[in-house]
Amino acid sequence: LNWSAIAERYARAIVDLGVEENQLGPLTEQLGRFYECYAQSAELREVLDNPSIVEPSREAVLREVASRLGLGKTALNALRLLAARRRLRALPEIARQLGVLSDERARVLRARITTCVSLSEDYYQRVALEMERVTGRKVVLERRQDASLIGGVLIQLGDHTIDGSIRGRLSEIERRLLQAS
Amino acid sequence: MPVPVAALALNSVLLLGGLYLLSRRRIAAALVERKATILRDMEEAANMRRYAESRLEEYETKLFRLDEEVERVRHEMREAAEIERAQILREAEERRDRMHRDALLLIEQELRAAREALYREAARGAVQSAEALLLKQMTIADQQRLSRDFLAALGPAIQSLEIAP
Repeated sequence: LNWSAIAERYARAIVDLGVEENQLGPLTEQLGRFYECYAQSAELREVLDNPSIVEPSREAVLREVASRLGLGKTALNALRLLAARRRLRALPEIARQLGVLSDERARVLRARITTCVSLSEDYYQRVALEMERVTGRKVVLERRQDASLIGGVLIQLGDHTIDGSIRGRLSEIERRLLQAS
Repeated sequence: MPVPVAALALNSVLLLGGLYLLSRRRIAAALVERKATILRDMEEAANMRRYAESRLEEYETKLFRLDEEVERVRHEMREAAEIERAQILREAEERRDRMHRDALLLIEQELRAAREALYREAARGAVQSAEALLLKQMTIADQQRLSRDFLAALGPAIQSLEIAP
């Protein structure tokens, strides 16, 4: 089975549902919450993935978990469908693709900003604003701190990296020195 | 009554005469054949003798020129030995040249590898020294200046990534 292709189909269908109901953000967030619970609980996985457990029992468990997690009707129906078709194993990939598609729809750009020391809130806001100005998208920054950078800032934007750290500059110097040899 | 001697003699003459008359042609033919065989044998003997004489003459000539022949053979052997010696020498020289080239190439490769390793080590050492120095001397003001510089260069950097708007 090509889980990636399966996940993409389901993720697109869920996105369409979310858009129709104008609930894409909450739906993505709720499914992400369920995925975290599903990934952390081996017992829950055992119950939901076990083919010997009858459908009504599985659905009852699903309803109970959804209720405790505060999932909406659309999220619950999507999960019931996945469970009935034995596609819950694709949930990690569905959640990931759902995030990507949802961000694309909402024109959200997620980036990870790593600094050597903690910088002011104002600085992070200015970085986000600058990124929004250039890309024309809403930017969500995930902040990290890493002392090994020595100094400066590093931003990871999908597959791209903008490295303004001292560590990066030193690595570049070393690379050039070796290239020149 | 005894047979008269004259009758016996006449009888014998008649018998011998009859026999002669009956076998005369065959005897003549046999004699002619015999003569031809003897002549052929004589011819062959003459041929063999001529051949033996020519060989004798040849051997006598060779014997006469034996010193010359020995000198010729010795000369040929000397020439062959000289050619072989030259060939062995040439092959040895070629082998020596090849080994010399290989050794030079190997030395060059080793030198290059050692030089690269040394350069790599030096570059790494320099970067590590710089890193230690920067770690020691980096101040809050430096950090703020670096983050300001980064923010100033962020726009062009993102534009160069060609991210779809």
